[in-house]
Amino acid sequence: MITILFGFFACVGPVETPADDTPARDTAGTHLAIDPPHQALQLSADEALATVEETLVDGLPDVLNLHALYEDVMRHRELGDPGCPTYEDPTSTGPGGNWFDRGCTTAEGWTYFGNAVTLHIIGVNPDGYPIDAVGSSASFQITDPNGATFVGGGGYNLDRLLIEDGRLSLFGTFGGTYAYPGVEGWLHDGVEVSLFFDGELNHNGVGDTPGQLRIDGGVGRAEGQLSFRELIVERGETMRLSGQIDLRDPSGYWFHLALEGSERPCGTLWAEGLDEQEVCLSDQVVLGLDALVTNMETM
Amino acid sequence: MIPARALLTMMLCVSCGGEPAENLPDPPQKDPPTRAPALSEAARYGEPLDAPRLLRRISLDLLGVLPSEDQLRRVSEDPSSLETITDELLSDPRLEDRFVHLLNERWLTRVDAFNLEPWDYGLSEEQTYNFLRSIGEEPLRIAARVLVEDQPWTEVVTADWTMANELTAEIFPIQYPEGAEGWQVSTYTDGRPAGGVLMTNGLWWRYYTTPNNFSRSRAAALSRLFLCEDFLLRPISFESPALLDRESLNAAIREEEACAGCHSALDPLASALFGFWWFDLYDPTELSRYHTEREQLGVYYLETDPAWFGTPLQGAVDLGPTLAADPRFKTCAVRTFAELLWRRGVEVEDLSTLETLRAGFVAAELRPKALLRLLLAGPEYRVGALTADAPDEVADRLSTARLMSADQLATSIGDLTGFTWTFEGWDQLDNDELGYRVLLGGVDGVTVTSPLRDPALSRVLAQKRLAQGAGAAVAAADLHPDATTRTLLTEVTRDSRPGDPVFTAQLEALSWRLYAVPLDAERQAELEALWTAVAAVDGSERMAEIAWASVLSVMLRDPRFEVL
Repeated sequence: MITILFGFFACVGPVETPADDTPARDTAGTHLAIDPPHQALQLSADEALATVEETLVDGLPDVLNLHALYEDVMRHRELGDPGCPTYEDPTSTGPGGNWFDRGCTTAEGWTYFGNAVTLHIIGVNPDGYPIDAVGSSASFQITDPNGATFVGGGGYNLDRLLIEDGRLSLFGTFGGTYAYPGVEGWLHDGVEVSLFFDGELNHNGVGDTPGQLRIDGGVGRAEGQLSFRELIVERGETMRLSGQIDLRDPSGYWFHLALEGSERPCGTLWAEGLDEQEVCLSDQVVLGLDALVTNMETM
Repeated sequence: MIPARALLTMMLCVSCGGEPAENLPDPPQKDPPTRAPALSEAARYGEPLDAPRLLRRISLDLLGVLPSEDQLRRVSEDPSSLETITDELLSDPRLEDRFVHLLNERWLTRVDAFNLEPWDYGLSEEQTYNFLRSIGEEPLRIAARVLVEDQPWTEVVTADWTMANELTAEIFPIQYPEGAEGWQVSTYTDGRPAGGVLMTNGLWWRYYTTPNNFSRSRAAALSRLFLCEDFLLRPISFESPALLDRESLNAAIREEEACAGCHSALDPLASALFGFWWFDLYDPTELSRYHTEREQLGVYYLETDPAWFGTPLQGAVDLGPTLAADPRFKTCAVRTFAELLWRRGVEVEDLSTLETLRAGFVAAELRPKALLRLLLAGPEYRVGALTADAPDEVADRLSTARLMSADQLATSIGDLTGFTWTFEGWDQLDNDELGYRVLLGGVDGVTVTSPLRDPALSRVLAQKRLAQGAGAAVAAADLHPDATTRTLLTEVTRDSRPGDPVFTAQLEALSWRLYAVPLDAERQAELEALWTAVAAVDGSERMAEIAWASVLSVMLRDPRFEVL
């Protein structure tokens, strides 16, 4: 009985009348309206824009780059039974496949700890279209002979399909935490990533119709944490950006930058308690996204 | 009393189908007659424990140990000293540990398995027990610290600090006081917003989500634990469409009325929890850090912005303050404390009592010790027997005799005898991997989520071994010729025999210490007979030790010991 009663309170919200001065009120009787204390933004609009650019200065994390790096690192594995690391299939010789190890070191000085399963498929799908797909699910720490540790936890997949008219259809997910100070670029200082890709590009950049890549999700680096909402990168003669890029303020609130899709990467920046402002991203950001698209459309 | 409109509305809205309250028929216009508040069932039909037994119950509930001989003496000489002694107990540092165990009966975070194991962090297998408890206790330690410092209870969900020990400080991104030891106030360094227990790894390791659940189970847990509102108890009825992918599932949740009844509130709440979203459920890096860049992923996965039962949230940063400002949070705190201390669920008949407690809690600015004092002073807590005219259903509802919980057994016997039961680094009374926590009536947090309320065979067996171990340890230590300190056998020596004044004095002291009741002649005769019989069977020079071990073993599994 008591459960039903408490459940009822939940259904329609504020039936009970607080005896204290809680800032809660009944709004039309359909939900509970609460106005908790809010914090102030810590960044100014200019600082927010600068942070967006700093976060993207090395471009967005690229699944294909990461996969290639992983394969390079795994080529240093020690073959055998057991090898180092221990592969599910001890007869395998390549960098892909499924391995698990609680820590081993090769004669060459590479240490493998954790587990990973990766694949790279190059072939033709049942409809006859050429396909190139990479995928991974992993939790590893691989230390190179110089002492730099490649940390990977999470997973990714990127499926690219060559369809009619030289068009490349792709979709993918890239989520996890990755770092490798042994290389330069976005991976050097570590990155937390939760990106979703979907689009249709021109195979090797050749085509009359502009390619489009949609990006959702987020990327976190030491410089800043960004979140993308239907960010559309349209690549024709010029690159156009539309959709939204959000930046997390250290207070925990978010700045929002809505890009208008014009030839210049400009749009409106706003946040709770901040007047809207018209701002433009630098060419550096555009170049970074351009590099990502170029890599994805090359197959 | 429940207002007539609320009762009427309740009867019409049990389906939680989302019908707005204003569509309900108008309530009767006639005001109910004014009446004096009715006595609660406990006040009407309950008889309180006497002062020593009540002190025993309070001491076990607050500290997990029996009252000291001095406290028993004071309260038997002057029952009004109970209030002063209760204040002393509320200031005792052992309150913190005890509350960790008590609140765990509700939050259920002290589990025996997480997605990760010590070796994932390079720790040894011997650290498994410490690993599990360090992580599982994190949210409980925050609440316990708020309690012992008597901070407003809202701090539990708004604090910008956490509790960490050496182990969690090593494996999580936590700033821990340099050179400190044990549980300490600490801070995460990964950018997670303030939010008390809502922003702890410990809570969300226990209540994890899966790739197709999208934090909904976590939102449901949050609602259940902090609002006492369980989405799973809402009745639903619908024909299931094909829900094979995220898009069709989200569409059904929005469009099917039966789904929307829960998901219209659940999903926006889940959308605020994506900072704890993991792309690999078994990766230490993913599970150790809060992911600020994922806070808005709910928009992608659930297609809804974060909101709190209709109130938009700007982000996870608003979660704790909004929960703290929700009137249901206070009501739930009162209900939670009441259920834990009354050792029973609350019923409709308790609502007026709960409302009184809630008013007192609010008047005390949500200080948890004030709420504890109110609860401990109430007839529902103090009831030890029923009046002759008590109806049977009242006897079923009121908890007049309460079994010691598994942790109370462990801590009270440990405090009395110094006996602890460990095996390969595990506390055998506090785990179910190798030990006997559930057998003793405890919760494992996953498959057993409510403590044992009535005697059971498994408990009898486990407690028998515990009592035997403790009795033997005490007898061996206390009766050793070179013993300099003694725990329970303070009066006798190996040469004492039944009939000796010291022997009788020893049994009297034990009865008073263990049960807070005087020794009666019948019980004395039984214990003396037991001692004599065991000594006769053994006959060696250790016969006194063995006989006393048997007597202590029996006394420690007497219902008067394990009932409070």
